[in-house]
Amino acid sequence: MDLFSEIAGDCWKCGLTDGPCQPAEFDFLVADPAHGAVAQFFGVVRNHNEGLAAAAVDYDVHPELALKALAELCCDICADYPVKVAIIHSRGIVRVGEASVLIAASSTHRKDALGAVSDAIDLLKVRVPIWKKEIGLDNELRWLDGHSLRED
Amino acid sequence: MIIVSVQCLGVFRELGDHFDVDVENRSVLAIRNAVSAHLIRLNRPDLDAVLSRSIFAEGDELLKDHIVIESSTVSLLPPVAGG
Repeated sequence: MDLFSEIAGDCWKCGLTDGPCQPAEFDFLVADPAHGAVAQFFGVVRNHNEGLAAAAVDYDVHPELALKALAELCCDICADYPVKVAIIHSRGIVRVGEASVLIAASSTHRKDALGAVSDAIDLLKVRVPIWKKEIGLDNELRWLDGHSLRED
Repeated sequence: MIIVSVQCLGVFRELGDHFDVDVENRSVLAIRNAVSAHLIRLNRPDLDAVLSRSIFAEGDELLKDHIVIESSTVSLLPPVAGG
């Protein structure tokens, strides 16, 4: 998978790609012969939202800030769980059925990997500067509301 | 007066990739107030409401309102919705 921006640490890697993510090329990023569990989460664009039909989502990204936030998120996950973790997120148009975000974590046993992946997607949704513009079947465009980064 | 360029992200892209505001100083609060006035002039109270939940950034640093920026360019980040 071609990443236009990426960064890695001792136990993590994250990156941004143009267009849909490619799940088939992903899980090797957390491969470790000492790890007996790999958990994956694929966020996929669905064909409806809030009662309206959707054809695609156009993801807007602040690359510099998003990569920094993803790196901090991965460090937090590695501090909370003994895992290797990788996260890739899309920029641009992702159509229904295609993946917009991939998260994988590996660990010695399954609970840590599963917990890491679950926490990672929860944190990504509230911390990473990425925005969704939904494209309806009629080509109507709708920016979706989200989580404020303001602390006050 | 100082001209600050505001880079638009998310829903603020409805205003284009960027716009300029005139401010008396480079504090984030002054920039926020100038952007609010700009949005009211454009008759976009919907975006002014989003502004109250948005944050500014300079480079890769998120900025609280009491910060004074060094450059003349900021990014305007509405609430995030990745995933």
